[in-house]
Amino acid sequence: MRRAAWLLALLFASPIVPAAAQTAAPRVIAVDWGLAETLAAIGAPPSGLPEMAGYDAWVKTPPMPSETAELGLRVTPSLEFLAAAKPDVIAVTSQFAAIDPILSRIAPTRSLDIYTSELTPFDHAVVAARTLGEMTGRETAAEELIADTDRRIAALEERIAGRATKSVLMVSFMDDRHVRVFTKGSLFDDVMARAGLSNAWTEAGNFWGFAMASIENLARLDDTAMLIVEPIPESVRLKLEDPERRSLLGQLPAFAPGNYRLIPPVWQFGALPSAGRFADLLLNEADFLERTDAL
Amino acid sequence: MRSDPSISRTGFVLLGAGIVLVAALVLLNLERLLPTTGLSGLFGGEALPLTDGLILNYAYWPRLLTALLAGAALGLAGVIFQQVLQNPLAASETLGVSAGAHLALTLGLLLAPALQSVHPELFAVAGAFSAWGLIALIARRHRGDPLTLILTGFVVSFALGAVSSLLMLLNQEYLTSLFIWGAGSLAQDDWSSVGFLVPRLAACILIVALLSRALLLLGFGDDAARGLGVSLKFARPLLLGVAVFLSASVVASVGVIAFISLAAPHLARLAGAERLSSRLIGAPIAGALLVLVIDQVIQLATPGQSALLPTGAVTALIGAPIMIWLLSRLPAIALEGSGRVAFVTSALSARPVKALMVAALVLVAVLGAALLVGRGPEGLTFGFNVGAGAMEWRLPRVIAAAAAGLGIGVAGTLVQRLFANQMASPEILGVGGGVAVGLIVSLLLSSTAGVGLQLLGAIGGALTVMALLMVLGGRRGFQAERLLLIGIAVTALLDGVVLLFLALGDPRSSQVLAWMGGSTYRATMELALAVAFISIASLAAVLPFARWLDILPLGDEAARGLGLPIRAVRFTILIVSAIVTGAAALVIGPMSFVGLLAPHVANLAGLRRGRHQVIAAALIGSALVAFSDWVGRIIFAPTELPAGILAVFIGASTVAIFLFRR
Repeated sequence: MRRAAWLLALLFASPIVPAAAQTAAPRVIAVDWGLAETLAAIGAPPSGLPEMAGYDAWVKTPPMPSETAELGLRVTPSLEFLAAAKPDVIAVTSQFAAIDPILSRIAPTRSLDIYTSELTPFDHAVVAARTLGEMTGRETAAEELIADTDRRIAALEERIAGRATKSVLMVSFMDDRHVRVFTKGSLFDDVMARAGLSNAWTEAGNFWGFAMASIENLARLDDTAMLIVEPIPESVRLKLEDPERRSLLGQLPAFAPGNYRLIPPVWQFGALPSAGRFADLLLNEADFLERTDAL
Repeated sequence: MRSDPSISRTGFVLLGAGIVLVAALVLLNLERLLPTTGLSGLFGGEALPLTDGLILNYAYWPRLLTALLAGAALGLAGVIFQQVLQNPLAASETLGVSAGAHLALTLGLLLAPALQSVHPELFAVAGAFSAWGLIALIARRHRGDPLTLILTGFVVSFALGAVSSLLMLLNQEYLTSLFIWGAGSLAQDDWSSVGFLVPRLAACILIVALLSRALLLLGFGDDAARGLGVSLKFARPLLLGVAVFLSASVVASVGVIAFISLAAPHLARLAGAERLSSRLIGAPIAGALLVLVIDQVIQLATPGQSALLPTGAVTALIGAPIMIWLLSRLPAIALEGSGRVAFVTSALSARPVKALMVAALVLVAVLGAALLVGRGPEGLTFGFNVGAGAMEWRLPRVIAAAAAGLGIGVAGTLVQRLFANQMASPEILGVGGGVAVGLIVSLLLSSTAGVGLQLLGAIGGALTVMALLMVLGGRRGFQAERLLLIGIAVTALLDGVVLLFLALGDPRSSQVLAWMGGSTYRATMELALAVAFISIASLAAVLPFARWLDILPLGDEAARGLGLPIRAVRFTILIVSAIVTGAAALVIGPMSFVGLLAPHVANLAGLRRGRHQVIAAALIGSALVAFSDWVGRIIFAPTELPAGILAVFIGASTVAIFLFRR
């Protein structure tokens, strides 16, 4: 025990290393993927990112540069690796409030919420982009990102303006019996609302803007444009392609061949870059969203 | 149903009441599902709208039948387990079979998603049989001692569960899919689950019918059967195989529906099904009715969102009160010949002080390594100030881990002595589960619960369970099976609460998951010092009264004879161990198994005097948790594995090895 006491004494005597010196453009690291994609989009990619492999698989664009260091899990980013990435500020969301006192020992933290109980992620994402622009000295790039996102949504709006469109149901399959439906409070819902599209799911979701549903819960939605986010489980693919339509999924008109669209992965808890990407994907499917007399 | 004189009138009354209840619930649900025509659409009065017909034929009826089949299969599995193993606590959950199936499904989803999604049964069956094989292997060493079997099942379940949680933590994007399997959702969209379960259940019923005589004889024990000239060499493994297969088939089709296989045979017995032949019919019926009623109520309660509340999570929740209620009936179903399990035996150490010195040295070495050896982007680092202030971040974690381990080691020894039972530990008796529920309640009360409120919730939960143990468990001098049953019940309650918390998509669920895993990441100096204070103070408080610990296990009369104020002593020990368990669990999570392991290692080293054992357990627990924390930080850096999960894994596998090597 004496040895331990000695260790402690030595420790408290050791000087605490001061925070990195201020430079013209402060380095910002984001623990949240949505903030990280915003940083990459305004040309200030973070020097470190948690769960890079996951980011590449689920967020995809904008890609992180090869210099960006892996930081470990999002719930517990490694302090030693985080310190080595030398951030001046760490951008967090309030979901990280529990680890905020820990992170702020490395660098001051700045909380930028996108998903809140107000259920308006798009507005928050705009504020976050602007704030991150100020923090990194890239205000112009941030305004460009905001303008670009608005432009992409406007392009979608213009394309469908004046035409009758179906309400849109955006789902992601958990397995062949359960789906996640995107509701008010999701980034997707905000983008659709801005472009003048309506969400077919009117019931409330959770804080993150989604609800769990069984196929049965989708059965009564008619005249809906069904968008299925990839990847889909193999068992769902088999049901969609089953020529005998031996399931409720197969029987519902919304899942008949030609009546739904598979869309590539978009990060569902993302910020402006994901919003822009989603608007592009909807624009690609604009014909599909139109109400036709054939149905 | 065959008429059987041993099924009492109450049995038929209960069955009738169950059927009436189901019929009423079904009619209410049909009324809800047929908004335009109402029930008349069903009987050809009005034409049924197309969508209504589709929902009925592809979702509602298959779900109803699946609930019936799954409940019946679990009920049958439960009777077989309980009869063959001659153990009233044997069931799919308590024997680790469900946990094995669940882990295999999780692995399948991550490693071979296409195969898992189309043929989940391959994974579920392989996982269930592997887990059962492991448990049977260990239990055979103990000549089928019923309590050891359940203890092994519990420990193995938790080790497997720890691996599952780790996989979920490392693959959070798949969390929801993994969660569906764990929570047991009965939502259907075709007849495939029914088509899957019917032939399997039918084949199993046929095998059981053919082997019913052997099954009956197994109930008298191997010797009696041999005396009658019947060889049970093949019947025994075959019947157990049927029960494992049934459990795995249910997990493969709908996920884990907790508690049914344990509760259904007891419900049948309470309804008067005393004979095996009537239990074989009564338990599947009880299981089917139980699942059906719960599932129909869930559908009524959450219209339009039938995927919101998974049935398995709800059965886990209501299973706990059922088990507690069963406790009051336990004299009727007491375990035969189960004594106090002492699975570690060793000679009394001649030089206890030397052994304690060794333990202290190990602790110092671990603390030194944890403080000095780290891993950064450049590889392993050594020293005080590698990287900007690395030491400053490590210190609170090391203190918190060491203090939590110390506290849980003390608590483990106290609980063991208090209940005069070597297998009693805060984790196994459900005190850990109580802490978890208490903490979740404190999070619900205030989203930004500070250290004070969290401690209050955790300790309150621990005290509640302790009180329950004293009141319910104490009735018959702390019979091991009663205590264990309370532990299983409270732990199931915790599972239910956590699953529901996740199901509702609460933004705080990631916080709860991180805490359940037992990561020291969030340990601030404030928390570390608070836990250290509580742990060290409790050890210091116990030492002057260590003599009590030697006297308590001798029994109440001996203790009174030696002048011990038995009630006051019990009460004091209870309060101290509840407080220290709650504080330690804040750092390393509720289920570390260190409280079980540390006193055993002390015992194994021959430290069996109360004073020596409690000090040794404190040192060993401290070293074990600090070691888990250190390994978790550096092994896959920068990805951190939570100390609690590693400690469960190290702790549970060590306990399993002890059990095996006995």
